[in-house]
Amino acid sequence: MTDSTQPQKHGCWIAFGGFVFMAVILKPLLVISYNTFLFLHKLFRGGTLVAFEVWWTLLGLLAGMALGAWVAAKRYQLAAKWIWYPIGGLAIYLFIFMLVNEV
Amino acid sequence: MKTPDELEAYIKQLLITNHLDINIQLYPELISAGKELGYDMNGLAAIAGRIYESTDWRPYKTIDQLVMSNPSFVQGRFFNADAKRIIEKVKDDLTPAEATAYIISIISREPHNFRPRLHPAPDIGSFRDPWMTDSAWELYRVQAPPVEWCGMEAITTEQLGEILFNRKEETYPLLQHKSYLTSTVTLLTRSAAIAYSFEKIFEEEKDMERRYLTIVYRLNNELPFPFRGRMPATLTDLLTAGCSSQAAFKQLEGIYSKGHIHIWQREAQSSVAAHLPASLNRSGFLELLYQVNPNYPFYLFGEAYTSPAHLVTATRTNGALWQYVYQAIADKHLYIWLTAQGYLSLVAQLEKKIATLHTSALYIEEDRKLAVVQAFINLLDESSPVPGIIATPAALSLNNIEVSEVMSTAITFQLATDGFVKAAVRLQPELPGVSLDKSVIKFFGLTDNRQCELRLAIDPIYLQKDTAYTFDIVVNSIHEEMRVPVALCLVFPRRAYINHMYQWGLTGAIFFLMIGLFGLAIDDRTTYEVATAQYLPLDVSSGYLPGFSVGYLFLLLLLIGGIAGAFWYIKKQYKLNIYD
Repeated sequence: MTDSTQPQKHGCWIAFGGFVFMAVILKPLLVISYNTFLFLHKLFRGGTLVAFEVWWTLLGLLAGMALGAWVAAKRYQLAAKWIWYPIGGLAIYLFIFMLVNEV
Repeated sequence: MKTPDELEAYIKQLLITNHLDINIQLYPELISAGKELGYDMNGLAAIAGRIYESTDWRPYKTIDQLVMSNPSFVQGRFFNADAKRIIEKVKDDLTPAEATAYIISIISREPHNFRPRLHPAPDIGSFRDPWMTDSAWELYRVQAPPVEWCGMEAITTEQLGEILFNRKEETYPLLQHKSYLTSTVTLLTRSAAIAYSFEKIFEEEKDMERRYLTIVYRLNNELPFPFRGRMPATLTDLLTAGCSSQAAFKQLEGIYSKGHIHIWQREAQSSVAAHLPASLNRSGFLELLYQVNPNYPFYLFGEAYTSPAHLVTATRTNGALWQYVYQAIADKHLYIWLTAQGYLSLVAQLEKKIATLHTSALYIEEDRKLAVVQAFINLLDESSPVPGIIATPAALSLNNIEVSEVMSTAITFQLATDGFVKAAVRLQPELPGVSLDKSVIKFFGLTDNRQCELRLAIDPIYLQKDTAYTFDIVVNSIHEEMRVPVALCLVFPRRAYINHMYQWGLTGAIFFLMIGLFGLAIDDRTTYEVATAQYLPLDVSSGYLPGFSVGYLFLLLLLIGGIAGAFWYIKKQYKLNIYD
């Protein structure tokens, strides 16, 4: 007869250790996530004219386009430049905001 | 009314039959023929004298001497063997018929008065029956009484052979056992050796028909060979009769295969006997046929072909004939005919071609047969065009093609002339992503298989854009090689590119918008407050952590998860690279 209690004991210790770990890193994670979105809000600040959500959505559009360009380049054996064009556009977009706004 | 030449031939004939002496007055028909031409008696005598002076009578004088000195003649008898010896001696000067007629004129006239004996219908124009004087005949009947066979009497082996020949059905039962014939031959020939030679036939030949023929022709080797109600006397006559129709040809071939012709010629001791083919199959029959006369027709599929050109013409227009032509080539029957017709070099070339076709991996068995026949047609008739293939279009230009998926284009190949051709199709050079849907094309004009379509497929994923490629579609047959040049240049797939960017851009925008709106929902600070807020240090006290930071943690995880998920999804759904 096999002893099935040993794996159950190990599982309990692993779960306990997991909880402890999560408790330890939770606060830093919360801080990092808060700071991240604060950074993003500061970066894509458009004053009172254009809301943050608009620039954020535009960022999503540019990031998606870069992704789409990557897919097309790989599928149709395109030159690398066709990937870099939208990535460059994304980078310019970010660079402009970094120049304009203090983060 | 006779012409002058006919009159002179008539006078010469009379001189011969009257032993070089003619009494014109005894021939009233000669006198009247002369009168019609304006000749009187003196004129006819002058013509006779002129003919006598201008004719070489030496062979006739030789015959005179030989007949007079023949021992049988002295005894009042003259047999076929005696005549044969004399005919052989003058064969360079006189035909057998002329010599026979002159010998008969000598022995039948006064005072000799030989007559043909015994035969109920005596033949006075040949030595089929022995010729004897009356007294010699009376003596002969006593010394060598005739033998009886099937109710007929015979005094020579030739006559006995003739009786066996004419009374076949009655003779058959008597040939079941050797005693009947052997004893009869013994009585006739009074020779044990001759009788034994016939006895051996019964031991050697178990087949009744072969036994019968061997016996008949050994008894009388001048008998004809019965064939389809006729009696050809020579092998040439027999073969000519056999070539008169398909049925006759087939029947003669059957007779040959049983060895009957061999028996006949062997017993007749003809000049062909030593050169008869050893095999009794169709090849042997054809060898014999064309050895005797190369101009005999060649029968194939019920038709007689008088020449190879005739056969080629028929083959070119009749598809049903091709399998029979191939079989005739494979069995080498056609070779025998072609060789007899003088096409020896063509036979060698055809064999070479067949060897090439056999080693080629392009042909399956049925195609190989057609190709062999096509090669035969082209070799025999050099003016006939080889089966050619043309392509439509003759060249392909696929420049500035914007493709994002596999594309295919059609090329039509047609048989330009007639006949059969099979060709291998390939690309040269081969390019990745470019392929043909067929590697072999085949045409046969006589079955209306004259056209076929080939599709050229291009998969753009394997080819660089904005790069010019040139290659050929090579069509290689045994007769020729033709090329269809292709120019290919794929351009940037703008639409597909924009489409992908649009799809993913929209997805990204929607995703980021959702995150933004969710963030807006959980964080109610104003823009100014956000702009002036300070970053929190990592060791900040938990009390200073805003409550919506949990929501931000969730949004961050969602953002990272979304981007990572997009990468994972793309890799899973799309073949991004041919080397993935």
